[in-house]
Amino acid sequence: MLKVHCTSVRLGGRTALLLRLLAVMFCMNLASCGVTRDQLDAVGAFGKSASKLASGVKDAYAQADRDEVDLRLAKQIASVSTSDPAAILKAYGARRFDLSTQKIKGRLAAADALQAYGTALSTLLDSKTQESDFSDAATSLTTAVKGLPASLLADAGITGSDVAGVGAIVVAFGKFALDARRREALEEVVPVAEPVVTKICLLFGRDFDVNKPFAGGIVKTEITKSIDDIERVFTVKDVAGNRAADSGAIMQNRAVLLPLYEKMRNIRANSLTAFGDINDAALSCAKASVKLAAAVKDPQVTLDDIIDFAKKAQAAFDAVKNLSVSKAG
Amino acid sequence: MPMSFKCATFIVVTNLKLTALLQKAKDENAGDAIISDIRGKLDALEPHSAEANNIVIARSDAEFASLAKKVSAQTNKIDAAIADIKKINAALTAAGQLITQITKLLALVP
Repeated sequence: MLKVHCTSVRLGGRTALLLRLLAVMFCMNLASCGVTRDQLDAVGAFGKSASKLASGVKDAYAQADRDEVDLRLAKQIASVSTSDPAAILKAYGARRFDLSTQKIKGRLAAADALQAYGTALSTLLDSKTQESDFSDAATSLTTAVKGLPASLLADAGITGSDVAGVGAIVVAFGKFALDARRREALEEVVPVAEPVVTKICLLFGRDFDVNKPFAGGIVKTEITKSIDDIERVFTVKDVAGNRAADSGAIMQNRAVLLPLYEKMRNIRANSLTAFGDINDAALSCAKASVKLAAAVKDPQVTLDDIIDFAKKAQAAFDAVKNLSVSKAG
Repeated sequence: MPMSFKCATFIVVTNLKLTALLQKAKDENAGDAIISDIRGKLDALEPHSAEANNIVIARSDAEFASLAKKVSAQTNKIDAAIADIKKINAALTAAGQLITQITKLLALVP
């Protein structure tokens, strides 16, 4: 697109020669830019996906914290071994795991930082907004130049086609300036940020891996235990004390236990899906982050990992969104 | 005495493995004796599980916190670049306004 502007500059006279030379220089500079338009778009896509992943991560923690209340409730209904109401109430007040905002400030700060980084990257490279701002500014400038009195232009040896050429150069120069500033920022920031961003993505990947002993594993363990607690009391197997009166053989018990059982199974199914998608997206984010830093330095680097991350971040975002919707329903 | 991180991790890992084993035993109808045995082991850990969970969550949270500040520092640099780009646009707009004013002034010259 820039080349079209450059080649369309047709000028005459000394001013024209100068302008033409400038245009050629800009075109040469553009041709030597290390970061191509495709790469700028890829960085923008990474930014949007990182932002989306961070948003999904925060929502998933919040949902897990809400689920904990249900798990605790199930525990106190299905597996109490005391008949002392005060003891039951006290036990109910103790969280099975604490993913409240006060206790996961580090995770939320990391998600916020990743989200802000992603948003900043995509804003920096959002050609639609910035270039339209620029285009408006450039149009206003060329309109002003064109408004100069013909007598003044004639005195300065500037023809109508020169003025049109100025407009083309303003656009070419401006886009070059935007891309150059973007490139400068990317080359300065992305390689430095890469190890930290990659580490954050890996930590989120680990945290949402339900087979590892972190948040995901803890949530899965507690859900599995709650479901088992209900099965035990319902079938009167492996329960502490004599709880035959609480079994599923009695209709009133069934009325309490079966909906609770269904709720726990739903929590498990939805959480495992959402956590799995976040884990996938976070690991893909780590890969894409490494590739992004390489791509900023070398235009030949393939961008497939970034596209893969974009797809997985969207899937994770959708899964968490569905999780919240199904819980609300 | 507060639970050590090592002990908390041990409990969380053991719970994780045992619940996975319990699920597998149920899925594959391994028999009541095996299921009861796994449940018994889980029950033994139960009084300490919640505390262990929270210790592991708190420790891993510190890892996230230390990384968050480093990313924010880089984000500030990008924000500065965005501000620079806005300055380019603002400069062009200002130049256009300046030329418009000059044009108006020139129009007044007889």
